[in-house]
Amino acid sequence: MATVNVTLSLSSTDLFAKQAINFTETDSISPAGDQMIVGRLVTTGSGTEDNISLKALDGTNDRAYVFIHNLSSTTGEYVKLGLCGTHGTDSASGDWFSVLGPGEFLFMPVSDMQDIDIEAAAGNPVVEYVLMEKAAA
Amino acid sequence: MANASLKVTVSLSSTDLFSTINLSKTVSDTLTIDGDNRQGLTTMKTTTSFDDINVNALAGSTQGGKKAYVYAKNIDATDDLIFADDGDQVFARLSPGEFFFYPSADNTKIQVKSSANTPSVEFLLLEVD
Repeated sequence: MATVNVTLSLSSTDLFAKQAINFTETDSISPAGDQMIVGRLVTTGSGTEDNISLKALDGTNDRAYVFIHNLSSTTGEYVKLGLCGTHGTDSASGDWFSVLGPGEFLFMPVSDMQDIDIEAAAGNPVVEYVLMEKAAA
Repeated sequence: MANASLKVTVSLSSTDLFSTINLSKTVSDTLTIDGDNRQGLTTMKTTTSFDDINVNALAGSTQGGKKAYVYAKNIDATDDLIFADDGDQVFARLSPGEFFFYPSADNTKIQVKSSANTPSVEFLLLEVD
């Protein structure tokens, strides 16, 4: 079983007048599913949902660790992320759980979805991603 | 409320996820926080029924609307935390010790419940205008 070290740091001195934010979280995760992907995707464009997994995520609760990064630096080229309930089909139009603006990224242990739909709001922003299925079926 | 900045860094590394390549990636971003709903680090005891983690309904119009940066961690040692959107669709599950950071969007609320018992969640929620 592989080990992946994950670190998240958040800091701010001006969010609150009386409270600075400065912390780091670390975790060693052990993805053991049957698909591990490092990918780079040129999104198709507005109106088309692209997928990032090669086959349906499975295992208990269809879980996967996902890192996704929108590499665009162009204003307006954000990407919408949708929960894909059935691999190979699009999520409901306009039903998103996240958007990544230009330069933004996420790290999340997703659950209860067989894939992630990605749709660009404008242009063809490139996303890089790491998808690690948590457990095999 | 004046705009604020949040610096975020995520690193991933592994020497054995793949046989032919090592994984080593670090990315950083400085985010502008300009929304009305700005919730600092909070801990909350969950139950097996959904509770909202946002105080007010998420609004705003940036990038499709209702955007907020959210950090959450399962600080329990035993039970999972389950997260769902405003349509009760589950999208994330944190085992003990796991965390996420992501920009929520298109949802007026973010809900959390436990897989069993009453584990606590630690979270931070910062709305975008």
